[in-house]
Amino acid sequence: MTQMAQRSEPRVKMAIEVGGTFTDLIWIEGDEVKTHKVPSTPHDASVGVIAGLSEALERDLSRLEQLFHGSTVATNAVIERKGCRTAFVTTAGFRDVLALQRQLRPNVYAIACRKPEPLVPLNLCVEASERIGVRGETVTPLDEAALIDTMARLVEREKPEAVAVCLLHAYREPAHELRVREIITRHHPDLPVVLSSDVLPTFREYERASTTAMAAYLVPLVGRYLHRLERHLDEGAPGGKLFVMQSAGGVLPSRGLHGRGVEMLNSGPAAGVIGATRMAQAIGDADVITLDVGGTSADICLIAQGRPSVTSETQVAGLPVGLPSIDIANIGAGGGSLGWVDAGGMLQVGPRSAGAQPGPACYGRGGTVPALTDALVQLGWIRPHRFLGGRMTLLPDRATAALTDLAAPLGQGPDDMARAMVEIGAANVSQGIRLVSVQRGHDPKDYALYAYGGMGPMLGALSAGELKIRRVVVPPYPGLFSALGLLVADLKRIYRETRFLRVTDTVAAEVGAAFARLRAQAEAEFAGFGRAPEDIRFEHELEMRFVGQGYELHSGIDLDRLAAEGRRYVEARFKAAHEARYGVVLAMDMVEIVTLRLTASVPTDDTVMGSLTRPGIVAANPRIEESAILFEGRTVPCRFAWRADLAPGTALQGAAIIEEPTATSFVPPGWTARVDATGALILTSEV
Amino acid sequence: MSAKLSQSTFNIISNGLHGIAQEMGEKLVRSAYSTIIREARDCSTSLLDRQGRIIAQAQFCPIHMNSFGKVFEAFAKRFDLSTIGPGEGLITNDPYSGAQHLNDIVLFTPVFHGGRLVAFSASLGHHIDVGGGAAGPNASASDVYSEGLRIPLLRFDIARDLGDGMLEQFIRTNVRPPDQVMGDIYAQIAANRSGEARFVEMLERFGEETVLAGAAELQDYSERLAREAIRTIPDGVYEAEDFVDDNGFTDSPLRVAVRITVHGDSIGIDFTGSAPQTKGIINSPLASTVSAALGAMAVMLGGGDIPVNDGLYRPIGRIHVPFGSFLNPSQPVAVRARNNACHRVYNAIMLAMSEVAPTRVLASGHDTTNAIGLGHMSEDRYHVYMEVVGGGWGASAGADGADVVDGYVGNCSNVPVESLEADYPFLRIEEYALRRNSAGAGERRGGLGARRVYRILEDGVTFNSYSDRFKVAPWGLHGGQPGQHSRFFVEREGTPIHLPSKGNTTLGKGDRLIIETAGGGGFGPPAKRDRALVAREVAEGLLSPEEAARIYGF
Repeated sequence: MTQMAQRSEPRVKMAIEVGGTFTDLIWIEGDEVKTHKVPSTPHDASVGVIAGLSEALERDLSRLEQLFHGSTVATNAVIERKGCRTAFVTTAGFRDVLALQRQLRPNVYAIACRKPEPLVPLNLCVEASERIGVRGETVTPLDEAALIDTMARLVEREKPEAVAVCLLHAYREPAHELRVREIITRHHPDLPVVLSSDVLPTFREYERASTTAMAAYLVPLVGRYLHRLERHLDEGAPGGKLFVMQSAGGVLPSRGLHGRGVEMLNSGPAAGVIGATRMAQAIGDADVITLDVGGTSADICLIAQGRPSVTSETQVAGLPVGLPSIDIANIGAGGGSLGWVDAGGMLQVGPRSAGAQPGPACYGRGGTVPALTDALVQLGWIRPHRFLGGRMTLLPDRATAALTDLAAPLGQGPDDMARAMVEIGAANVSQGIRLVSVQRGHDPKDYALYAYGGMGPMLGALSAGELKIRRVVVPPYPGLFSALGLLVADLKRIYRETRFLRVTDTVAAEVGAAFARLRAQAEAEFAGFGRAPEDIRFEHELEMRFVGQGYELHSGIDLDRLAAEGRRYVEARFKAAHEARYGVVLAMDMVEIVTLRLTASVPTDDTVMGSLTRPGIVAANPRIEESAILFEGRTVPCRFAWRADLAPGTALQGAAIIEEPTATSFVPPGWTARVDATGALILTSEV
Repeated sequence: MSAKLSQSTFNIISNGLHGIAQEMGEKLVRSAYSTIIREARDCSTSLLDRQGRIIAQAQFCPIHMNSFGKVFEAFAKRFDLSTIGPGEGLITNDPYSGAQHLNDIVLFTPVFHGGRLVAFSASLGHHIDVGGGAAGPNASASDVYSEGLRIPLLRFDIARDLGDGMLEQFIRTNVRPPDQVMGDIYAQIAANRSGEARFVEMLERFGEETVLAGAAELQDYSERLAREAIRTIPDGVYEAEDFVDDNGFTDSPLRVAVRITVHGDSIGIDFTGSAPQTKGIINSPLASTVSAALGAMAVMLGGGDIPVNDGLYRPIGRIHVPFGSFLNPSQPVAVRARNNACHRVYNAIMLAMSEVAPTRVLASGHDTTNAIGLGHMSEDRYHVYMEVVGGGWGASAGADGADVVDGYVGNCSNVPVESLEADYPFLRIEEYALRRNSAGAGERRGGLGARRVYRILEDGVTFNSYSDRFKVAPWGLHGGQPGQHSRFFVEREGTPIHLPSKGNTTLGKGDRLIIETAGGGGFGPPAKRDRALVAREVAEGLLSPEEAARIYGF
């Protein structure tokens, strides 16, 4: 923090990402990119955010124009069970829906079999006498007197802080849910009420109930949190606007989100994927796999034709969340992943992790079990005095000692152990890449791997080799990528409606009418953000299946072609999606549109991206140190460079290691690294 | 460990092999046509070495998973597999040639590398229909012929015999939904192919010698862990029995008797004394019986932590199943509902070992495949609804039994109510709940069964089912109490009409069909149960204050 604040400078766009250990800040002043890092404050994340903001802007919040914010506050509340005391109201006969869940066993040979604990215990679950049928018809009218009575007794006995309401088929006909809310609000005006028809108007009662319960569970906590930040901004930066990152990969103004914390789950990794998407656009890669490796885990996502994959089947702490979100696979591989030998004598790396405390043995904080970072120090790939740009000095003796202890019973030395751990760590990452690519019908060798996070650039090329990926890109600011993603994310929201429409000759008219409804809804909401209908970009997708199938595939739809070609077009789109994922479709059954999905977005302005892809001033004579490392059991010569010294066009042949403040990139023998015009490091393999 | 194999290579090959089998399974589920595979995941996949030893299998249905070796043996006996070519396949569904019941079609394809046979890819799919006397389980089947089309051990040429070829045409002509059945067979071939491609990739990366050494080491690894586990069990002979309720025709229970001999680090299993083969569909072919016994061993010895492959089975020296018993019947008795017997095989093994290995066993759960079928002919088409309704899981020394999961030999999912009602307009679900008072009490309680109420909205709906545990309750262990029996009944104009566990009946408009599945048995005396847990269940309404007082002294 040495930059001088200049009052005449244009106003600042700032991104703040709250992680488990650090809160990262990245912002643009003029066309200069600046960054800052402060410790996170887990007891109340807003304290760290406010402190970081104050330091970054030198206590002058008035320059702040927009603050883009990503936070783990919602995710952590679910994982640590720190949400509110939530009540749950459902249709008579279905009180147990949150406890019943699905009846699969995750490990078929395990003795103990446990379902994840629901967020709402049964003593807070009550029934309303009512029933809507599958076509939206009223089978049993709502018994209002009974509901008033039930709620009075529940509030008296259990003192809930929020209420989730999920009635059967409410995605089709929300009238009863709306009436339930009116009644509860009239009798208990302080109780926030969350409806499933608002949160997730799609079918599948358990998934919808679970998502609605989670939404209610997070209302007071997230509301308080956002309120604190807004109040702080209002005082220091009148007119400054707070935007919050969403799981679906867009940002939205915070004002409307106090009750929608459930849409913020896993927004950190999502922001990273958005950053990579925009960076790949600037560099010219359409098909990309992102690899974000941190201390304990790796997040992996596939971006095809510039579009990150989106799923409605995510889980948090084992509980389903049916909202569309960026489809990210998470595996237990990171710098802190520990090496251990299992009962049968097999060496494993992760998912056990050294965490932030004690951390890897070489941190010298009492850790005695070797972590992946220790193995990298042992091999010479991480240099103790240059770790985190020299901000932290590592103790290589501790790494060696820990590796020796683990290796000795196997009759090996620390060097062998370090090599084995790195190979296993890279293979675990490769397996994770397979999950999002091969298993979903994509061949990874056609993709570029975008590696970021502190450890991604180190493992990227090693993991790529096994999958025949020949292009690995380390974007600028790899250690701040989630924060960077916040700066470049679009204003975006996804609207959905479940219909169960058989694809017949009248499909074009039916789909057209449904999308018109969703569009009106989107335009009304965006008007509230100060956006005119003509600013909004719309994308139309259909979630479809063969009749009777239990999951859907989604396909983008061109409304003009739909109008012109009708049924044939929709069936062809479904068939193509099915074949891409699962192979040849032999015989066409009746296709059914289950849910319509409309994405409304307003793009961010391009000047931000321009600043982020403009390399800074570089040294006239980059200092490159010739040294040696251990690689595949041999000592090989290796060149070490400081990333900021390398001008665009510079090339380095492997083995080479490129250091910078937040990450270390490894260029294995057989690979070449080049700095491109955007400042990205592009690693390519000759084989 | 083999000198050629480094620590990391072994780990990478092991994880890679498991990944291949799992990926094959996902491919099969996602590319299948019928809901039973796509939804309920009633299928399995595996990789076998050239000799037919299982080197990796996906975690799907235990009853399938342990039987690939058995079917392969039959093929190896029948054909000279050293001459098999890359375009060939092996297929069967014959319970009397090593397969299970006719709906389960097993398909092997060879894997070649450098012109040499190196392995086999295998998949098993439960097919929605294979012809026979009823669309769905034919509870009145008197022999295997009335259960559907039997495919003998066949070695075929994929290009020649599928499509317009003899095999496909023969199958198509003999099943009700030919596109679905053939679609699922093609999905099996696609799954096998993906396994083949991934395995060859691995061979190219590490070399055949290293991969096969890794696969062999993985089997040795499982064997080592299994033998270690057996050594912790005292030597001796341990016996137990359990019962299938009936055969669907007469009232007599059918006995499953087991005698387990533990000697050093090996185990022998003998089913002498089990009931003779019987009328009806509840006989279990040898492959199913053996598979259930091996799966029970995997639970008892590994608890999910030992990779399940041939190595795990090596210490299990001999499994004797008397020929002519209902666990190893002679041709041509019917076998469709063999899961009932298979569950009792598993239960009897757990019970036999419960005294000497109390921490490795479970009390009986509902342990039944509660197959519920409803059919209705509307103007446009025939709707057939089929679902497996879960029940309570057995308690163990360390844990309460889970509420409402599928029985041990299967792992089928439940279908969302909102989806059912959209697909089957002749029914509405009025209640889907944890069945109160169904769990066996104990220090660890058994899992709760399910209660599901279907309102029938049309006349002429047929109900076809097979189930069990209507008469012999799921037992507890070490002082734990039994769970409640299952029961099915119809409420017609307010009067309950009880239904048998296995049978077919016709329902009319306005009827309420009520399915109540068994709860699991408890483990340990109820008096030792954690008071806080009892208090919580009272607060949650899972236990009435009176019951808490009576059973738990609360």
